[in-house]
Amino acid sequence: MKSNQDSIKFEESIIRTASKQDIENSSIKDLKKKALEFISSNSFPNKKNEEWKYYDFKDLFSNSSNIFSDTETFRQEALDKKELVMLVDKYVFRESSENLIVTVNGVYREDLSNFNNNDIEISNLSNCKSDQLIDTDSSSKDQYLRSLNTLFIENAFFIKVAKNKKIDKTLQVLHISNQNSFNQIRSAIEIAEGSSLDMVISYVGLEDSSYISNAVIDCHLAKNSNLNFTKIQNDSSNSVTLYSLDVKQDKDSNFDFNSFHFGAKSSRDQITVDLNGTNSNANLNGLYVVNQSRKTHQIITVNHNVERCTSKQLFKGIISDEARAEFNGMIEVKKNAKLTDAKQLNNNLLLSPKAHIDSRPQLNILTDDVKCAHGSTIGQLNEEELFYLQSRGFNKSDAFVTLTYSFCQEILNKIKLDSVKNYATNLAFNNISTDSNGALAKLANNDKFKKSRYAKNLK
Amino acid sequence: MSIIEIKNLEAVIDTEESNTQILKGLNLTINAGEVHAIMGPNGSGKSTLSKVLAGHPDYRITKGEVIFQGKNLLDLDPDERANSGLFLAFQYPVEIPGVNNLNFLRMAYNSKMKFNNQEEMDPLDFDDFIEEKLNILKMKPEFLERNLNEGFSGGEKKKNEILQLLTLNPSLAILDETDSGLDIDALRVVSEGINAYRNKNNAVLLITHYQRLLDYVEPDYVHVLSGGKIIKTGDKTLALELEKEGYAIV
Repeated sequence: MKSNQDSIKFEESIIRTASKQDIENSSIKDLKKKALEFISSNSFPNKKNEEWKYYDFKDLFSNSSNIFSDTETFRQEALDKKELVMLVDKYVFRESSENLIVTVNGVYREDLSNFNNNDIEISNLSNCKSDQLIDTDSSSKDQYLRSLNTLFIENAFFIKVAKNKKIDKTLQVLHISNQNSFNQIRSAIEIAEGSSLDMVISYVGLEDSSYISNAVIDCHLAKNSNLNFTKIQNDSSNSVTLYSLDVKQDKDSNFDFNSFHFGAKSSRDQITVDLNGTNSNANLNGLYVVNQSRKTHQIITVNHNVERCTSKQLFKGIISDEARAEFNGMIEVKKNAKLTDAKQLNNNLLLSPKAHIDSRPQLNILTDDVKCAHGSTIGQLNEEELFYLQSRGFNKSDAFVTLTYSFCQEILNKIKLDSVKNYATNLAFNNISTDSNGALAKLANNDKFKKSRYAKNLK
Repeated sequence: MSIIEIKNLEAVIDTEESNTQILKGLNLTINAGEVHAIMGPNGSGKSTLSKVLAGHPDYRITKGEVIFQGKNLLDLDPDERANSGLFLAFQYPVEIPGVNNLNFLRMAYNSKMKFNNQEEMDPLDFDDFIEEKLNILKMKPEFLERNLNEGFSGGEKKKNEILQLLTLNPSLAILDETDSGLDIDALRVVSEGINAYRNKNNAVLLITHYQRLLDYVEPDYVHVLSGGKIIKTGDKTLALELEKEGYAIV
């Protein structure tokens, strides 16, 4: 019953921390009160919950016992500004240097951000004009995590793209976390009618630091809007991250989501997309590359709530050493959702005998006249392909890198910006093999190789 | 000067499903400047011979030796064999999605350069180098921009094998049924490619079922492989006889 005790201890720490929040003076007293009530009267998710069945709580509890000290305060380490500036410099993508939002331990930092775009409104709780950005939706699946996050909602920031604006520069949101932080990252993104935004959200941690992040993001895509959302999780290898993304789409909207998982000791993403307007489309792509004893969990739900919507999920994983991954994808086609076209595919490459994957592609169809497909594959590198490359002079390691590159490029190629793509490609291969850089540079068409006149059409 | 000497070679296929002896004492010497053709009924060991020479992991050598340009070939890994100058054109080239054909060709070429302590070619010089090879095979440059064999037709895959042959310029080219599945025009182009590669310092081993390739690439010797060894050797007229009479004559 040790894990049960750990769980109780964890919950107690949360409630203790939560109770210290000055709720009475908060501008959203009711919301916070409700959240505290929920947390006090419910327990943290456990293995009895189908969507937490494969989750290993050990990592979470061990990080939490570091964070919550006996003196009942956070032991979060202070960060010096100089160090932060250096980190921002390191992780900002050059195309986004003037469209940058930075948070440190979940708190929006205006002093580190560099943002100047009249068509995008960035606000926090005190100056937020739109109530609807604070989503109190109780139907969300991870209500406990959401409530916990709500207790710290002062940290939240909101991104709103004005009506009929096509934002041509990619917006970057950089989240930095450090030792023993308990980060409640909260944001809401509103893309108004007829607008479009490209956004890259990157998560980084100080080297080897141990922390817990609990991110809650709500997106609303209004009629005929477009959001291209790339998430790159490169958290510290000792961190535990929890992530809830809820997306609501109106008529004719388009959502492209590219999710990359390279860091963290344990990461869990719960992504829920509601297609609420006809003719809306969601493309969800993911690549998780985990090694050592890392774990990653991808729980994806796409709800087709109305007719004539399309969705596509393609998640690929490369799992090596003793790492474990879970893909749990669900397509829900509701009663009214005639003429739905939904696809879901999960491909996994297991590179060692102890690597483990639980893949569950699921469909739940409650109407007729729909087109749905789902599937999953699990395999190793193909011997014939390895031999073919070796017979062309590739040594074993280059052949290996080439084939793993071949496996994941389909997802990496969804990234629009070269600098982001190179960053993700390098992170992916750092988690596979350390001596991959030579072959990778040639395969990935890095700058030097772009000069070829035949390279003009390479993507 | 001999390029390759195969002496009393015996090999078994050694996989989970099968453990069968396929080569049963095969002898063959190929000298520089020569073209040898190997014909033989299905299942006689032709493709096995080519894979054994290239170093396929499914085969185990139980007896014999192979001397390739003074080196003991069987001691080398597949990539070392390739970089030492042995090339196998595959009967069924594999498709590798996401790996650009041009990058692949340059990596293969530079692997060989590096192995032989020669300077690697930079992308711009490689463009000029490869363009010349493309012209020989009447291939369009778009070919280079596609992914390696992905979605290629049967004929395109075989042409791509010959493009690799011309790029890597090995000492010995083993062509495993490169003519299968080619239409008449493609066969002519592929043959021109093979002839463009040939010179007095290198050699070709053609594995084929059909005489027609030999009209374009004229062999010095024709061997019949049956039951895991060479049972008859003749000149190009042997291929014509076999075409007419079948393997019953040997």
